[in-house]
Amino acid sequence: MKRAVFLSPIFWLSLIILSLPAQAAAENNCLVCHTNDAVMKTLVKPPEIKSEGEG
Amino acid sequence: MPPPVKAEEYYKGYLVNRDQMEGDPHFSMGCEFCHKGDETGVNKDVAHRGLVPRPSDDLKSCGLCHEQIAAKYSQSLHFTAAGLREGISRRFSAAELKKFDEKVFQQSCRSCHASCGDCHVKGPSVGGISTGLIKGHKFIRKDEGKTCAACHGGRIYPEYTGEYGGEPDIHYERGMLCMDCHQLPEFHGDGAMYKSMRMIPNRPDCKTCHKLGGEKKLYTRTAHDKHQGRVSCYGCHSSGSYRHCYNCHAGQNGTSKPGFLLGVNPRDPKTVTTLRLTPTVRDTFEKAGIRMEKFDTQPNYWDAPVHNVRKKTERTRSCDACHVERAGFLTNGRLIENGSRANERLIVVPKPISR
Repeated sequence: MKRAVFLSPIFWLSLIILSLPAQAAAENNCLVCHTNDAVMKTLVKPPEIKSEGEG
Repeated sequence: MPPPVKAEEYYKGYLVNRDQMEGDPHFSMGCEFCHKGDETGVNKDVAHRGLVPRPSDDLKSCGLCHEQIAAKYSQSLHFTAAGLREGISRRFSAAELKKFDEKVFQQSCRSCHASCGDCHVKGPSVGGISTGLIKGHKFIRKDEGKTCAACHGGRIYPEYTGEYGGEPDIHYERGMLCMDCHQLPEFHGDGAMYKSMRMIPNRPDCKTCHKLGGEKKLYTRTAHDKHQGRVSCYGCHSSGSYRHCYNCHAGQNGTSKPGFLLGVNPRDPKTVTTLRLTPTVRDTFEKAGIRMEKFDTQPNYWDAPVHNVRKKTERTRSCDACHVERAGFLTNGRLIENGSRANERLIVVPKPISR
């Protein structure tokens, strides 16, 4: 019975599909924040203006 | 200047557009490849540990693929900022120049160099403030209004667009931007290491497009004939006031105000041109222990290719503007106080016209 489950293509397909989001998240969390307007609004503070730019 | 960013929208400059990443090889190796940090980090502190915010400060980052461009750019004035050193160095003795290199140049002037990303990814930071990612982290070829305009936003760009007051440059009105006149080697470099932008070959020249001799009106042709080699194009065609900077004390307490000045070109004394006051004063580098022993050998006013050109100005409409009224000309009374003795050499009195 155990052997039959491991040989089943459905088992392997499910394993791959289920692991995809987790793998993507593990690969790059930068985009989780840097593509989220609401999150970035809380994380980024505008700098203080110290001097006038010249050039 | 680049469009102003409201404080409450500053964060938008850090938002990445995921759609623009698809198919772009720049993103194929992930964020960490260029920015380091930890892209598996679950919060900002962890993810940003060891982060490199401006990866292209190290030209090897871009040079990995764009080898030739990076090699040339390493010699470019936009990267070396050598033009700033060249300009000021004539006021120093040899010992002072050594001190300047050690104490000022790398820490101050050189910190203004442009990285690849400043022009192609994220607006450069000026005074610690950036307009942010130009197009959601897309690698763009050019966007002068958000890149050139940031670093050159004190004088050149706002004069060009008319934001500093006065009329915008006619070329801007006709839809031209920086790179319509300035060639790519002026930015990427051509492989040679120049000390000053004036050494770069093929810089913009009005006469490339506006050939002399083809003028339709006799009045215009005569004016060009009479003044050729004696007055720069800007001398007559700068539309009016532009920015002059005063009293810079190693980056502090600088002030500016508008003005229009005509005088002898210090680099070409046989011509009259528009002059701009530069902010270096006697005690600018006092804190660094540099007195500028040769301060008086160099003027405070320099020839300025003012970017507010118009076809018709007060001086093109009437010869009397210069030859009778002498409007805008540098005089003893207009010289800055305690300025360089070399300033007096720039004073010229236009001769009356015999009619």
